[in-house]
Amino acid sequence: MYKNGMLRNSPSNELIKKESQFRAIMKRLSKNWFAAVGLVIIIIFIILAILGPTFAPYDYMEMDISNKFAPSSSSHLLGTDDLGRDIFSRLLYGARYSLGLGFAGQIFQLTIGTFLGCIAGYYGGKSEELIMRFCDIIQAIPNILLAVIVSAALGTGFMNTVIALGVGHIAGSCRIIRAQFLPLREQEFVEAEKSINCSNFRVIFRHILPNAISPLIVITTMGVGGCIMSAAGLSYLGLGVQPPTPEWGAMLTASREYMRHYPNLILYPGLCIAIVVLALNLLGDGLRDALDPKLKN
Amino acid sequence: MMKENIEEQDAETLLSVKDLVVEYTSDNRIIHAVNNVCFDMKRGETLGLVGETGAGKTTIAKSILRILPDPPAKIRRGEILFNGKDILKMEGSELRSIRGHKISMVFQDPMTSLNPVIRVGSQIADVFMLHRKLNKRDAEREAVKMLELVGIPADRAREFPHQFSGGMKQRVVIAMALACDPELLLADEPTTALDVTIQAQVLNMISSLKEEKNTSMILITHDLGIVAEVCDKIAVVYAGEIIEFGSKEEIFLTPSHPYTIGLFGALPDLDSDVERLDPIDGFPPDPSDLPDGCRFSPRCPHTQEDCKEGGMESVQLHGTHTCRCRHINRVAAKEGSYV
Amino acid sequence: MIRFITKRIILMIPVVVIVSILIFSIMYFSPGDPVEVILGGKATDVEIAAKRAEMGLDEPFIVQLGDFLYKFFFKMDLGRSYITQKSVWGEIMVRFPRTLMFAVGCMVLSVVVGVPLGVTAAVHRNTWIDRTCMVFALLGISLPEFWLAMQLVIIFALKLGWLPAYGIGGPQYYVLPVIAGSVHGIAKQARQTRSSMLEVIRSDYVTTARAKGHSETTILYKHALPNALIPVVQVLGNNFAISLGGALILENVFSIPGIGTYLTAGIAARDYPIVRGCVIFLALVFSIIMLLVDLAFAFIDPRIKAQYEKQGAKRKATGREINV
Repeated sequence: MYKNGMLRNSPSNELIKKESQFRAIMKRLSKNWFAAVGLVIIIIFIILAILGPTFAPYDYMEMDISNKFAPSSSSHLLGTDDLGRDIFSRLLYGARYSLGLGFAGQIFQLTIGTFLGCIAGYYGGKSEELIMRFCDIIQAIPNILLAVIVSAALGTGFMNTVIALGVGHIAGSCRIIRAQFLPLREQEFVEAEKSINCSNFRVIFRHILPNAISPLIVITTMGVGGCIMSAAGLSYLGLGVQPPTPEWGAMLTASREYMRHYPNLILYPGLCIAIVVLALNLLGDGLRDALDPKLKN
Repeated sequence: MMKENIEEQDAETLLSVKDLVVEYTSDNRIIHAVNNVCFDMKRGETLGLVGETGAGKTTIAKSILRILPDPPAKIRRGEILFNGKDILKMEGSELRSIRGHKISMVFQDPMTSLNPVIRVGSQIADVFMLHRKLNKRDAEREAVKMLELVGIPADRAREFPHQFSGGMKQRVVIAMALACDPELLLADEPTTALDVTIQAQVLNMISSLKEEKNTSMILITHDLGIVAEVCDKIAVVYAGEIIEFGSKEEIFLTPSHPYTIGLFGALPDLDSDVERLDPIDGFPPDPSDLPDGCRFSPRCPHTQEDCKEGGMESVQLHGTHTCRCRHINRVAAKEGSYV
Repeated sequence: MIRFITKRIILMIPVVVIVSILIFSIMYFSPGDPVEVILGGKATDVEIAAKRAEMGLDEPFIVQLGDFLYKFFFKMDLGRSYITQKSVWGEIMVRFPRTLMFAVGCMVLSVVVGVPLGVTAAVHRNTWIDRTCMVFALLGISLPEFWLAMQLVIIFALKLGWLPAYGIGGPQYYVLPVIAGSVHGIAKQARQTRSSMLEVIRSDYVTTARAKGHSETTILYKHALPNALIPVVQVLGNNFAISLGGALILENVFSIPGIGTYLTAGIAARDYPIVRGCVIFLALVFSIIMLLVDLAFAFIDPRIKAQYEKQGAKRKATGREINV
């Protein structure tokens, strides 16, 4: 950063600034009601996903054909589906899959994207060119399309779907991380020297991570929502995760033929997806506002 | 309240600011940007508003044109009489007929003052079409004339701002401001963002244009050198108040307020053997949490007990010279200056 | 400028080539044998081997790849469906106009509804108008599209009977699909426009315009909006990608015989030529759209136009004029 017209960055000053910045960010975030609501909702769903199935009244596979399409009752909170399975229990189990796919997909793309971005930014030159072209190629294909084709190639199943969902987002993280290296390059490294000593290495990472965290966090939070929705979409198309797995999107697909007469079979899974994604978006918005308040008003 | 100097109260008074109070609201805190500012200007005068960054100088200038961002800024009370009429009470169309026409402003940062997607010539022609009611062709012709006046060749009128350097952009802004022969020009640190060599050019240009049309000017700056060259009257601003006011000679020769004295003391003196610069201790007060009494007293080397209580009145000195300090005699004695 | 356009078009080619190779390889190395699927489970090994030779699937990978690329780039031939034996390219050409109409319809609606919504919200910031608009926008990006589509079908087609639930025919068949597909786009566009408008309203040149004596309306529409729309154009390309993706799924919901349904049918049947052909074709379309958007940029923002014209050499990391 420029200070008094001179390009100067004392590492220790930077760190002190970052810590108080962090506190300021947390303070701004805590004041934002919507973001707080979003966070609470997400935490509730995560808890439900982890603990829910232990408390679910029925197993998600438990069928009771004589009682199919039952309306809400005391024994079946949200009724039963076309095979007599308890919808409420299936939603609880499904939380694991849907949320799991969303978070896992983002963790996957974040790891790979960060790794690639670091290589591109740090070494520059040929490897950077290669990685940036790779990002270009990935971004030349619309996200969903890429997810579709990877999912089609790999087949259905949880891990395969995680990869399919994450692939499209890699380019985003990669570019963000690499961008953090650019201003540093002009400061510390005048020539593209290979002999970079260890202390620089550590300093670099202490610079990169704090700066990169802000945009990454926002993108990742919104990205989880995007992945959850794409997962549902994939299930709908016959890819991703398939019935009888109670992933919310798969539940929607399976109930499609009954939507005329039993619309609540579609209503509840869709509602779950909508609420979770809404909460994630609220949180993401709040994070973005907290990280750069100038943009808010 | 500042005691009026009766001799100045004649038809020559172009601008009269009385008890101006401006606040900014941010995060539920109130920032007192301008606190009971009063001053008068005669036709043809150049008034220098001097002070540190954040003292409130720009806010005062923007209040005159009423172009403060609202929210968060609010003009709480006061009167701004321009040719006898109160600007703060004017309605939309009357106000707009003054802006860019009778009063215009040059801003501090030329890089962001011009609209990036509109051609430079058109941005100047705008003013002619708005206030002189010219048609497009005539307006553009006049715009080109203004550009040449500020030293920009005519064929560059169809270019976009990003194609100009900082200094040239500022000249465009000046051309825009002077296009309709305003009676009052507000120049907010017009040369701060420019190179020193360009600074001189731009200042000279402003001065000569000013001379030609007898334009009055309020020049905001923190550079005392510029003030000495260009201004007739000086108002020293601190924490949103005018703590000293007078003619150039009065302020430069007999500075009375400890802050003003401190400002001059902070200047390197070519004649004497000075080993260290003498900056004023401490920092300007937080405008959301102003100290009681005299705002400068926490930093003042001559502060007394009673400086921390009550409002500080302006004390009349010689001629037009006024000062917001109760102890000027003591200060003068200590500092060895004359009152 | 012409040089820039030519350069971009030329650069597009290797990208499309590599994408084609990538897609081909992904399908090639994916598990599952198409021959077995075609012949059914009861075919003998001899039959399988014969069929494989007949389809050219016993050739080495490179040969198959080369053959595919050659046919695509020089003959516009994407192969034939394993199952129907019909030309993939031919089928795409029949179906694509429908998908295109759908995607373009969604995009147009996004802009026509989303931008004014965003401008209104920005101008009335922090009032109830602003909050309502933004609540709708937030809901819009959170609701799953196909779920929304299904709900719309339930209400408007099944219960009220106003609009058809599936198929194509006249314009009324596109109403529900386009509405369902636009909700995301409208919401995104509204949010984007609002935030970009707010940023522009705060800028120095707007203050300058005010200081010149312009009316608030003029400032809004002549000075602020053109600048605020620049980032909006920027995401148009992205939004088109999303519309295309949405088309994939929504075509299935509404049984519209476009590329979306073709692709999903191909996936279900493991009919690789169809899958390959559709994906590569869509990638190509997308690249072209992005190029057009980048060009549209130049018309709107003179700074970008200048930058394009300067671009003869490689872009250096330092050389970006705009980030002052």
